[in-house]
Amino acid sequence: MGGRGVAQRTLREMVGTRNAKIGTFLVEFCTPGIGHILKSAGSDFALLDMEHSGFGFDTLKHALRFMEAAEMPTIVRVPSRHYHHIARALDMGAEGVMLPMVGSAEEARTIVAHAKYPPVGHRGVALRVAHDRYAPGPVLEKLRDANRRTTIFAQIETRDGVSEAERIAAVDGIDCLWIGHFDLSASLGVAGQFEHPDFLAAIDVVRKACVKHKKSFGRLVPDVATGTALYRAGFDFICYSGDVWVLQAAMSEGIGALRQVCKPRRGAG
Amino acid sequence: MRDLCSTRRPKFGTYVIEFDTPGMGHLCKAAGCDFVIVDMEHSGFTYDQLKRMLAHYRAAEVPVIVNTPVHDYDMIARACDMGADAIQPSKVGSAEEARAIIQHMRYPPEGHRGIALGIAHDRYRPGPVAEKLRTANREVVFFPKIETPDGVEDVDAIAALPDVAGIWIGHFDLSVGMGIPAQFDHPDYRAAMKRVTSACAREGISLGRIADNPAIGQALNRAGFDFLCFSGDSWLLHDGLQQGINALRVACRPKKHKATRVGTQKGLGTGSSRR
Repeated sequence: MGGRGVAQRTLREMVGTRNAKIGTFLVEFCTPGIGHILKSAGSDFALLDMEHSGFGFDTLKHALRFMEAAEMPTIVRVPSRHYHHIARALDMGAEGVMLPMVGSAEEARTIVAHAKYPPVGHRGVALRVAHDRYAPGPVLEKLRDANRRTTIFAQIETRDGVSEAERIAAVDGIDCLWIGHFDLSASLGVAGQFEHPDFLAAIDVVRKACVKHKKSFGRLVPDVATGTALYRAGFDFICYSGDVWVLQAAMSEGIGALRQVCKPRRGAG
Repeated sequence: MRDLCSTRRPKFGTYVIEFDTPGMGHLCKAAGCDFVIVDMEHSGFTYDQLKRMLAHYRAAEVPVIVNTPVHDYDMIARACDMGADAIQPSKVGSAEEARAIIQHMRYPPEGHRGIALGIAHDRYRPGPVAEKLRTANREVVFFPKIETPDGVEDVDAIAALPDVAGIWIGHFDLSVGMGIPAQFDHPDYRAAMKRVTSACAREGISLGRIADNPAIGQALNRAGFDFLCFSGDSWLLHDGLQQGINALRVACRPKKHKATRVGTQKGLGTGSSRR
């Protein structure tokens, strides 16, 4: 069995706390077993990517049920900041949405408005569908609960995003700033140089913004050593590797080991 | 697939029981797989999924052994039509059963497989009919799975059939059928393996099994197995993830403070101020 996960069961309970939330990234495997596999392996959350994976909303709607079946909180990284992506992901039952390339507080406020029902925002109302688990109930209570439940992760991955980080973190409804490290390094002109002083200075600006406004701070990490170092540096959402990379690493490690030790059989043929 | 069976060099693959997605072919290829086995007995995969999966693996040039739960014509011939490189029917108990399956797999005159051309198995290509039938009869590999005492009893006759390219061992079911569940060191189980390995060596055919880990694979290879199926998709992901997450969980324990709100923890920035 996996190690003991965080005590929090929902993304709402997880955001804004300092303790490490450790999850993984999904870009390929949205099969019926995936929720149980992640749960048993000890994941606190899944981050399901729609920006680069090719997953459509039909796949997402299935995937969220697989995750619910295993009580695996799921953040959906939608392909854009458009209303129809944000609100539809939430209607399918996502309790967390992650937005790529957030560059200003104004953008952040628009995102929150797309994601929350009136009076906070302008999310279109459809009830007794996937997001409220098809259950009946008093309308106003449902809207209030949904607004409370929905968490928003803004990706900081541009130079603009860094310089606006403090104002973005200040926006009510933004729960976490998430570093898109590849794109951010490219935007700063130091692509892939994650130890470059400019990159580290940018991370520090974003971290301070999160501390000041009591928001969570997250990133993908390729390995345990990076995850450990980033947790110590102030990150609290640690998204470890991803479905295809973990599988591929385990497979090539085992097959590589077998190739070393197995020999051709004697005999005919 | 036929090439893999023509040598006794070890071949490595993995078992596919959960992930039917488009990337699996390339992923397995990049990880070093020589083949994969697609499970149709326990996975819940349908033939609709199988057809897509075979295309995914063909895109990456990874040969696929399709495990079928039963020996019926429609199971065997349809898997061939969708482009299976090898058929591995479960619980083959006698040479007679094996011959019947071969008939389902082979076009006339060797068998009675119904003919459909210009579809998945011949990559939707036109071409001379007689040659296509000959090629298919030669290329599609038969891997009877022996996992009952009956099958072991008749293994000499099964292995001697000209169309049997290799024997696959279902070790769990075999041990259960022998009344010694999972006792792979039991003298009866060892004796059964001895019969199977001798039969395969005599006929110069392949022998395969799932190996949960490299140590088991190495031992199997020493015992005469050349097709080694390393673990399976969902188990590898699960264990790899668990290993990483457990290590992070230990490394990311709060040091002096219990779980406090971000920002209320004093000195949060000290770790990174030097960066």
